Amino acid sequence: MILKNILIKNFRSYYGENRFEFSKGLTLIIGDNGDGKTTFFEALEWLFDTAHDNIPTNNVSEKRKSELTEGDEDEVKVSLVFDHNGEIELEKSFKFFKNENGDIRPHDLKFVGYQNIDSERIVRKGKQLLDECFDTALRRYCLFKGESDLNVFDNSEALKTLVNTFSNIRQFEDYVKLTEQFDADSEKIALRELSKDKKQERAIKDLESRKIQNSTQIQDVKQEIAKKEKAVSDYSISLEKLEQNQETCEQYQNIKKRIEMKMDDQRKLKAMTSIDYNTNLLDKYWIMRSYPAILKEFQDKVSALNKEKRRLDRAETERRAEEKGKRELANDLLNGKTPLPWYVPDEKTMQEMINEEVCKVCGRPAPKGSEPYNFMVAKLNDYLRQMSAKKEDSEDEKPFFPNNYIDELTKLSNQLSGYSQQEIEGKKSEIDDDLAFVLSRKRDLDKINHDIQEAEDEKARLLIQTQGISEDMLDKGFKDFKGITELRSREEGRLIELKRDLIVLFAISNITTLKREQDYPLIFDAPTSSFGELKEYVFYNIIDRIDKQCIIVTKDLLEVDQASGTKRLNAEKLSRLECTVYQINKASGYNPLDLSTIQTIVKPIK
Amino acid sequence: MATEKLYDTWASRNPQWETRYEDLIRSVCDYGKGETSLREARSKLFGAGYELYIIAFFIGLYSNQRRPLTEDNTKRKNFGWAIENWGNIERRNNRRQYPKIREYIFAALIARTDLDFLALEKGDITLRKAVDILITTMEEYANYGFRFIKERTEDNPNWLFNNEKALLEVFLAFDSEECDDDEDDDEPEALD
Repeated sequence: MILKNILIKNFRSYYGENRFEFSKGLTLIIGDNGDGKTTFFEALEWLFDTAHDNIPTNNVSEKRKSELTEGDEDEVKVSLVFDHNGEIELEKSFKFFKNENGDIRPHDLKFVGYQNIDSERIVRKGKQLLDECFDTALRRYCLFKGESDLNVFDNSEALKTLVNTFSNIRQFEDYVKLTEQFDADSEKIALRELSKDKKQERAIKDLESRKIQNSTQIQDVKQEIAKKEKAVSDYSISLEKLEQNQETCEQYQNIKKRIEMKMDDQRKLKAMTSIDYNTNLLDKYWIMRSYPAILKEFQDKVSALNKEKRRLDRAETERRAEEKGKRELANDLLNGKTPLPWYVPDEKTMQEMINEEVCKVCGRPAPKGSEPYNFMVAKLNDYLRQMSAKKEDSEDEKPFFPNNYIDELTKLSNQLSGYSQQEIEGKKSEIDDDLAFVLSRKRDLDKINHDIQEAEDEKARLLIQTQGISEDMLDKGFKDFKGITELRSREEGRLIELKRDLIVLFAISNITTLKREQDYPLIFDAPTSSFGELKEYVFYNIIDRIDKQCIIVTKDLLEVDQASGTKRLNAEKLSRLECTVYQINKASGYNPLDLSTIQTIVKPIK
Repeated sequence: MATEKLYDTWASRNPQWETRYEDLIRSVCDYGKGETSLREARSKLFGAGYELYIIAFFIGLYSNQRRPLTEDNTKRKNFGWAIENWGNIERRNNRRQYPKIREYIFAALIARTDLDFLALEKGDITLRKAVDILITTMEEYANYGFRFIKERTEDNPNWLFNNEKALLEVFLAFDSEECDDDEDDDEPEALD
């Protein structure tokens, strides 16, 4: 069903004939408050109302009424031309005249339709024709009146349903009901269409499947929202509790911080005072504390031994030298002449000459008892004595002290003197210093322990005062305090976003898509009256882009002219839209106290 | 002829102690457990058994008190660790090696042992004999020290365990104590 044009004649502010041509996509009818937006919408509603047969006298243009003189007659007419398997025109009208009392009398209500079949124009009953082309149930999906009064889906509930979907997600449950309504309605349509047209049956099936998809999507979104709401709620509860006990939290944190600092000091002091006195006796040579006296004994003793050994050694050397000197002196001179060496001739030669009684040095006989013979015997004896003395001398060269243990001890003594000795002598003061240090730190530790105990007591008292709040919560909660606030804001922001923009637009878009197969237009009266600029922009962009006939009556896209104070169209915003645009506004000379001055002027813009 | 060093010969020995102190050593040291049972060792005051022996020796030394060991060989034993290893093997956390302690013990024995070092130097006394005498001094000082500790623990079984400074206090007390001088063999040998 594609709307082509509408004629509104003498319908309230629409004085005379006013015609709107609709595009196949979006048609915007822009007007300010009181300019006739809702009247336009209600003219359509009146045309589509097949439930009432009475004549709505108050729909007659006041201006037209005021012009009539007695007996004059005119008509109120709304005529809609649309394509629905051929061109169809629906026309609802009634006549009115002014009687002799000046009263307006309506009569002759007509609701007729004209259907072009095979280039023949057939007159039909309007109601019947309308129901065939545009079922009551479908009309609900197509007419959206206002953001807060969309009497479309359900006479009693629908308004709340869609509009609340726009603005309040808590009413989203109703939207599920709407889905059920869809279900019932589509079943009805399906049954009817089934009997008429197999093609329609397939379309209905497709619609069914889309409906299920949409229901699933709606369910998903609903779950997501429920999750977000739960998160916001959880954070809110935690935050409230913490806010109530913020002071306690701060006190608790102060005490806790104090305890932690003290415990840190305690740990350090414990480490300082943790000394293994037993192993230090060995590892740090503390056991040498009284050793210096012993060391001195050792050094003195070794020194004395060394001295004594040297003395004895020297005495022995002297004795041996004296012995040797004596021997050498005895051998030194004979008859004032230097003798031959004692070993010349040798023992064997001497013995041979004595035995043979011949001096083989001078070649003369030396008979036994003669002087040369006695000389030779004396020479041999000297030789033997020298040999014996030599043997004795070699014995004298043996060391008096063959061992060097005292030297070894002297070396050790030297080794243990100097730096080592100072180290040992320093042990006493080292131990005393260490003990004094530990004692002092232990006093500090006692004080820290006392402070910690006091802080713990203070903490216990605080916890008693704040009954119902665990230490864990005071501890953990406070850490999250800032995080909670931020997270709550974030979650709330996301929820609002979901509520006000995405879900609403998503739902509308889906609805239009859902019905697209049947080619029914969507007609909105001021759907975005409370939308922000961004949301409004998103809304028009979606509507403008979808392959769907939409007619929107709105005051959006108007802006205040700073110079004149009047409202004018926002050319920039309009330029971004590709749709047909009408502007409606009140004719000049409007007087709020005189209804007959109301007239809507319709002006095509693009 | 290169002679063997007196110190090395002494350090290669295993001094003996009386078996009656074995329980004491076991309760205080990680004696007889091997290096693997550190869990138990953590509750002990010392590592190897010789550590308490060293403590006992210095108690005897500073007290200038010697106590001969029983002559019954069946009532004596040694650690199976030669002196040259003492102070080298302790590896528990935070422990340090203390090898120099051996030289200090040796020097103390030289100072306090009645041994004719000149005769040793001349070769009139054998090295082995001299080292025997030094070891005897060592054993007798330690034997006194063991008895000292044991008597304290008999009076108060937790003496060592309830007071972490118990042993240190023994050594601190030597500051003010006059060494007992009632033994004949504690004077250095007259040298002439």
